Amino acid sequence: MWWLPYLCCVLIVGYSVARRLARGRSWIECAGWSLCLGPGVLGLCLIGLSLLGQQPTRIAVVAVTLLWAVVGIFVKRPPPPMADAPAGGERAPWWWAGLCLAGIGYGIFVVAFDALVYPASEWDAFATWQLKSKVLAGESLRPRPAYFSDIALSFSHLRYPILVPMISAGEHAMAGRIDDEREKAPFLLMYLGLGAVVYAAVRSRRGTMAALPATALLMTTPLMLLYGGAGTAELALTAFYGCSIICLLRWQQQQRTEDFMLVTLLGICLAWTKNEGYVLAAINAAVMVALTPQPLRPRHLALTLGSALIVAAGTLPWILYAHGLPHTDENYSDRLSVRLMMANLPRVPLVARKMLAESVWWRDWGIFWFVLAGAAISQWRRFTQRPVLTLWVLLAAQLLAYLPPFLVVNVWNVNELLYVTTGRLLLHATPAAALLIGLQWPGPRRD
Amino acid sequence: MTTAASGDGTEAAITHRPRWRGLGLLVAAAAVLSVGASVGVDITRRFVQRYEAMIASRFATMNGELTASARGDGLYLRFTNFQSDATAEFAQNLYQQAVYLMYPHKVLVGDPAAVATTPYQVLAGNFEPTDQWLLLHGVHTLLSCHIDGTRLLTYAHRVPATEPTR
Repeated sequence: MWWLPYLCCVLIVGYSVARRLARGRSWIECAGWSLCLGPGVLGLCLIGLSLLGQQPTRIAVVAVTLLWAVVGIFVKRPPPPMADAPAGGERAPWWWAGLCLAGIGYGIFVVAFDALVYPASEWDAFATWQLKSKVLAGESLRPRPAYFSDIALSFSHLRYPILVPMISAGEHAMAGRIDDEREKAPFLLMYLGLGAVVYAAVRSRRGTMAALPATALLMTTPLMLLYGGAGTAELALTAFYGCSIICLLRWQQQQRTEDFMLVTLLGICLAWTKNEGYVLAAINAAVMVALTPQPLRPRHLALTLGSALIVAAGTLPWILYAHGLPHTDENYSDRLSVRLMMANLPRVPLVARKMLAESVWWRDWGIFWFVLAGAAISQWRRFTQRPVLTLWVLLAAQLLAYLPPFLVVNVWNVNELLYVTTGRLLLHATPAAALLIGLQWPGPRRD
Repeated sequence: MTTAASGDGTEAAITHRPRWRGLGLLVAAAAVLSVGASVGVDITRRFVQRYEAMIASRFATMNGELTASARGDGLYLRFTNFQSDATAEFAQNLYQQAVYLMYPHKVLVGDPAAVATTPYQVLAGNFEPTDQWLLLHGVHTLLSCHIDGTRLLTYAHRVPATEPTR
């Protein structure tokens, strides 16, 4: 039963950070931040210790938790208590709330079942992420474990970032043994947290009438239900990205330094989660500069530059660590060249067609993307609103940024790669899409 | 036109247009349909086809077989008759599952210095090792996996730690 104390540690760390950086938010939003940030921050701390030669242990997990509890809760109390943010927009009638909550409840039930009952049975989960979690639980990163040089195990992508495995490794460490049954438990928290922050973000602008269906749509897409408790990095990346774009919208609205710090922290989490995270963090920084009111104000420019530098510095240890590792799997970053991409431009229609075909595949998405299209068309006037415009720019930039790997891939057959990745790539875009559905939900328009 | 306080506390004008109610109903109906279809797909996969339970059961069986064969040690997987693309992928999956389940014990499917990522690489490098080779590479069990139609047959051969017999 050590997984329960571990989840408590994760929550304490998350709450300590959220209490400092998400002050003044509604309780549900603060809970969401705690659930999403806890695994990320605790995982990063354990990685730091591991790089210093201290493998994750029960004592290390408890010590990190206590440290965060002291720093976050007892040192310099934040001035305003977390008040419930005033909800704008329409209030959902009971039957509508019931329908949406039934869908959300089903999602929570099956993701909890996957995370807590079944072992890691999704191929990517056991072959890549959870195998690494066993490695990280057993040895520190200094001296470098033999695993990272074993090219026979290159199927597990030796150079992939290690935040998700370290989050699970913390559970093994807390249990004092390799705990195949509960290693995915922290991802249930992130699933709940993602739902909570998206709900709170939409509710504060459009009311519960729009927030509940947006959350239900996000939390019940078949791929979200499949990957939610699977133990892969998809849910973690989606949750961190969803949180970061909500901070970005908050920053546009209020220009509070706390939101900026959250975007920076989440940028580091994104980069330590998957290689796509570097791109998403960069897109956030670019959008932050371009679409913030008064973008050329010295304070805004300084904060953006500072944020980018902190994210770069925060991810540098892994870039240096991974530099000498064998590179036997598909090496996209080294192959990214304008010449190669131009040569493979004829692949663009194929990639676009496959992406489109995936988005309308009802067994993976229901009619999630149709709802987004319907809401966008019916509420096209809302495109003039800054948050809506920002989210569309983020969504478009994200989908465009996922294009280059398909143009430079050579080990994989491009059709095969599209078949196995498009669903997951679209999953990363669902928080932006769900927020858009909520913000463009038909209703009284604020001019 | 009326004014009302917006969510962020600023005064904002709200334009009442009857049209949005019709659109709202349409989008709401689509949202309900989407959530219903998604939940339906998931229920079919989990509770009708019992996909997750089937994989979990196969995992448990495999885990038991590997643990019993390896007896707290590493093992070598030898694949025979994995000829079609589907069975080749199955071999790759078995190998990667075994690596995960047996870690930190060693699981080999060929030369440990060779990449074994794709199904083709797993099968192309898969050979029948001698006892000496197994001992040299620190594994004491050869688990032969043979596909017979749709059945997977396994046979474990344990190499004595000190006295190679094959």
